[in-house]
Amino acid sequence: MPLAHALLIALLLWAAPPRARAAEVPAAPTLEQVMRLLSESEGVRARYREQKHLRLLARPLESEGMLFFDPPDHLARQVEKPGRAQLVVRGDEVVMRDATGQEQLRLDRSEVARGLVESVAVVLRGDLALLRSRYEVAFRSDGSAWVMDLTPRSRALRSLVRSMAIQGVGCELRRVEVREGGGDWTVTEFTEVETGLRFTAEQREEIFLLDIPPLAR
Amino acid sequence: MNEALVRAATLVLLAGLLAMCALRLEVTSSITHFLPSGDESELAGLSRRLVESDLSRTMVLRIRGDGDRRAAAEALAASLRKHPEVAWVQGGASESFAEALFHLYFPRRVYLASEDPERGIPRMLEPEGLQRRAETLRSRLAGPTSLLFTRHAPADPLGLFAALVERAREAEPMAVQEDAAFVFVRTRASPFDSSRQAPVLEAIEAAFHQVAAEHGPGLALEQSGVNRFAVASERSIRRDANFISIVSVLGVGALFLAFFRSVRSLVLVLIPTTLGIAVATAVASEAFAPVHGLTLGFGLALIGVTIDYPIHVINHHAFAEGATPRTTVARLRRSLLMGGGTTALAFGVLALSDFPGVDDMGAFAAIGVLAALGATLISLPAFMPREGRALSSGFQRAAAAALARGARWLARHRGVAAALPVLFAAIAAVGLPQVRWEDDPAALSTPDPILVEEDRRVRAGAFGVDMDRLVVALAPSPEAALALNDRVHGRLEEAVAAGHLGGIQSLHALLWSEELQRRNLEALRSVQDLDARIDTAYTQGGFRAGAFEAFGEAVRHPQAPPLRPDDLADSPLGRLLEAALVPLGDDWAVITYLREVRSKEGIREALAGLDGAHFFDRDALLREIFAGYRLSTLRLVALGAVLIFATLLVCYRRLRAALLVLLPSALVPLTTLGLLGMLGIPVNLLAVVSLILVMGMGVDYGVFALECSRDPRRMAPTMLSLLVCCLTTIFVFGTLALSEHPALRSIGLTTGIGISLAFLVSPAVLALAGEGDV
Repeated sequence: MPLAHALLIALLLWAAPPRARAAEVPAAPTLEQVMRLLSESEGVRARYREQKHLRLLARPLESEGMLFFDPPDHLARQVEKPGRAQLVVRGDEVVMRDATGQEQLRLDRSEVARGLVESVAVVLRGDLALLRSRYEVAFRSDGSAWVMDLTPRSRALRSLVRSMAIQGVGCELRRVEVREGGGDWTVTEFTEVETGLRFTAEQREEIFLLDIPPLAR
Repeated sequence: MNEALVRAATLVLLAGLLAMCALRLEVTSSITHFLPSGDESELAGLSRRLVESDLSRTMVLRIRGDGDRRAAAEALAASLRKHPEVAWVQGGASESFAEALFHLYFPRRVYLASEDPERGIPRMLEPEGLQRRAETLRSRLAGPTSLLFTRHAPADPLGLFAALVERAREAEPMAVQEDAAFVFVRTRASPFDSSRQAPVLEAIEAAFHQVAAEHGPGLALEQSGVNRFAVASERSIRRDANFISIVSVLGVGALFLAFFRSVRSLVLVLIPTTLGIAVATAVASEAFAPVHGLTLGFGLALIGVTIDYPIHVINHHAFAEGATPRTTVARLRRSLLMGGGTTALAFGVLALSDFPGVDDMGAFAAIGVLAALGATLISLPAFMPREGRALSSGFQRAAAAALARGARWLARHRGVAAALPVLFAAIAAVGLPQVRWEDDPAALSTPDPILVEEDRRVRAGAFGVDMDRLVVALAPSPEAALALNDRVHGRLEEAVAAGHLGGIQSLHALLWSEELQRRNLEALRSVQDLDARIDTAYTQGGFRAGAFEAFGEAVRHPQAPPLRPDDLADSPLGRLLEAALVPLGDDWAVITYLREVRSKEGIREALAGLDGAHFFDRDALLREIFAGYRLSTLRLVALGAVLIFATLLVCYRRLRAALLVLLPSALVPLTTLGLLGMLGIPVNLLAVVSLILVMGMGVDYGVFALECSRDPRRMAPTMLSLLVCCLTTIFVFGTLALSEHPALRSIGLTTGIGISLAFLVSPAVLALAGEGDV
């Protein structure tokens, strides 16, 4: 994505104040309370930093950039390092765009792929029923901080993902750690989290690559 | 002759025949009986195979609207699985497809690397190519679906399995889409078996109502399936036929009451025809089993012409003073034998047809006519009252007298009589060139446009392919057909690139010939430093040294033999294989489905030079088949006319007599066609088959008209009989012209016009023959 576009998005986001301030966080919230807060938090913008520890690779894969969430099912990651790239989840479709071009993948044929990609979005939109239908959820909180330990219910997904630990404070996600069946693991940390955002049509088009039409069925 | 014994024997015979029919008759509704059986019909054979294949028995159900569509699809599928008429159901998202792909393809990825292995694999393994693949893998590992790749990457650094999955997914209709969920249902019965399909359709509706109540009242069900059209068409025709039957029965009843003042006459005329039908059906149930419904239906209609024989006998007996029924029949024997024999000959000629359904129909009708003729000569007199007066009425006598006067007037004015056939010939001459032949079978039915649109929408959503235009690779064995399909696929990809079509759905996405698979393995093995090349390129890309050794091992010692059709058949992909690899006589066909056909010619050109590769355009093929059917039937009608003429010549030994008798049967079909041409009414094959009926009755009219010229006393009852026969036929067949269905309407119009013309020309035959002249 050209730098000018990224700057434009940042400017627009800065100029668009959060519509709703973060709701008051109860002390030692329950899972239901946290999920309700998340469901009310609307659009999200955050800076992320990710480390993938894969046995195949000589060194961990590191990346950082911005993460955007527009409920119910649009999630975007703008990679700034090591190279510029955009990665968007739009419902059942993943769109990737970098300097070499763009690629689109459909997820609707595979529960596993959908489960992998959707997990963060399900938490961000506070869909507790869906979360529980897909994972066994263990929850603990300490003040306004909380941790969800998720174990996939699906045998197929569990063969890939042993567990996920999602940490947050109030209605903000702070850390996601995914432990894989084969021993690989990934940690994503979020900072500068803003919630309660409402994206304009122009912002949505820029962030979620709406100029790329969905794949033909 | 002991009449009581004849009556008893007739009734016992009839009961025995009906019992035999009830026990032995097997009826089919497969359209394949009406496809040609000759050697030239390779594609017609394929069409037959397609009609009989699981494709036509598969329904697609689409669930849309507000609610949990996925859960609703799964619940609907679970409910339908329990139905005894449902052979197979697939619904909702399924992990079995992904698992099947992995188990089938991952161990065989080394066989399926490149469609052009001798060039593609070395190119793939060049340093630049490998570096690109390392970058791609690294970028995939950085993405949100990285887990899907880390599982297989150590044994598949080239991404061969990922490419296979991509291809395979394009071949599989999606069970769940963003706005809809699909359920695929295969029924056990033929889609044309309405009696078994109707309960399935009702069960689907009932199950969906239950599912919607549970998963969302805002959900809506859309369906697609050949069976829906068959059931709807049968119901509609049944409604139409019921109405027409009532009109017809009332008309015939009124006719008999008006002329004979008795229901007894009506029962009498039905005896020979009923026996004829029973004999023909019993023979058919043994000789042609299974008998096609259309063969039976049309055959019965053709045998219906025999109702004329008892009408002649009854009328003549009513006018015969002091004669017994047997002496009346004896007087008419020559006419009856001539009429029945020539009619049987006209119908029997159809047995020479290349179409199995038509040749059965010809034989069936000929047997029925001969049996009814026999019953008229032997059984009918035993059921008739001894006194002819018991069968007569004042109206009958008055009508007969008026008709006889008219015929005599015509006999005195031969010029007028001669003008009638001349006028007929003129109509034929003017109208025949204007005839518009309608060979599109679709024109024979008027499917509900709402059903048509729903069907199109659902199929397009599920498959996205044109089900009526296919490319077929034909070869003597599955392996040879797959090898040909490998080449067809390449050509069609070029055609897609050239814009001749939007895309293809090919078995090639799932299965290559064994020969091509082995060439892939050989090409990989021929790279001596395979492990080192991969290691060098991937370590440069940030991967650990030796991380991909499993791939080299898989090339040296493949984990499975090449993929064969049987491997797919036993997997969840088997349904796709069944739809694409089909036995066809001694050959095998691989079918490629097409999307958005833009240039048929372009596709044909793309396949040029590939022996055994055919572009199959079902609509065009059916039009060709029906045109062939029409032409062949017309030729048989002409042959029938020639044979009838030869028979008449032998019997009468005079050219003029033979020509006169032939007049209604030879001229009237041509005049009927001419009239239809002048009126701009399209002529289809059902109209042509109806012309055979007209010809069969026309020859009878000619025979009886000529025979009565020898005996003036027979003129009144003969002319009355011809009128009653004509009106009966119009009430029985002509009323079909009232139908909303083009097929039935066509039969009704042709028969109604033809029989009326045959009746009109009969007095001319009589007049031109002259009393005692022949």
